[in-house]
Amino acid sequence: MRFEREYFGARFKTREDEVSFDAYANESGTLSFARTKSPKDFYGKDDAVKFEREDGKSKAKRIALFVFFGTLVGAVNGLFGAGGGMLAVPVLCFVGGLANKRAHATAIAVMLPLCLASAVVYASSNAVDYSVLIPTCIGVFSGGILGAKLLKVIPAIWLFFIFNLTMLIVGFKMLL
Amino acid sequence: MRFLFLALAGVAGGVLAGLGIGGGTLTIPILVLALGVGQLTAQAVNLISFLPTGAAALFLHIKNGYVKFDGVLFFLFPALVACIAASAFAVGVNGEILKRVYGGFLVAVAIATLTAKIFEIKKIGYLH
Repeated sequence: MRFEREYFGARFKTREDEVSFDAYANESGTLSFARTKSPKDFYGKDDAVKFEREDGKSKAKRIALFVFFGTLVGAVNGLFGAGGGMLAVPVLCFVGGLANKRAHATAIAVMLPLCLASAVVYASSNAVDYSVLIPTCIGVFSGGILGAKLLKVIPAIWLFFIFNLTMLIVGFKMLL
Repeated sequence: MRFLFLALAGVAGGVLAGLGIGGGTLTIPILVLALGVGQLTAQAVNLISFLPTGAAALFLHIKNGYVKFDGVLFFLFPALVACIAASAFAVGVNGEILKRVYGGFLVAVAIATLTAKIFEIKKIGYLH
């Protein structure tokens, strides 16, 4: 493993698979710092699992929590047609013990069947307006690609605050 | 013109979804508040518009080995049952009420998330 050969000492990480720094000696023997995007850069794909939480939850407890939060996430997603993924990510992090990126990916795997089932129920009660659906779908698909590219450019902490403050303002506007 | 605005609303929501920060949650308010779409229609449109994007993202994530299936069925199955029941309930609710409840949900999630972040910053002592 590259880490054992080249790197030593002062190694710290901020959070499971976000930015981490490594100190290592370069060829001329001086100390350098490398900023890495994820443990995947150091370890192979499978070794990134090592960074996941070891929280010592028993299997039964994990299942009980999954059932409870699963019901909640499903109810929210069905009722509002959105928001399930936003709740599923922290559940997969804290109950499932997944690292951030894996939690996001797995949340999509959970949300896809949920959204499909909801969409069928909504469509069968004629809630779908095709004159709205088609342009929005085109927009969401192209926006999704754009967003995935922007992800590498915009700092996560900005996104976090911008998104949550927007949600707060918009929420109040809809509530009142 | 309306087609263009709706597409732009979709792009805005899609960008957020691509950034991994709950895109659909803001597509609905854009459609409802800015473009006058009914709450229930906006919800239905948001659900369906997630399907192609989500499928593409899921394909990539599975290919990169980021999806962990193990144990997830305990999460998925109750969620699916609750989701179908809640959808069947939602389509019978008045749109205006649904809109207000949705607004309340957004406020609650935003406050909870911001509070959790503030505690986390206090605990570890820096932003990341």
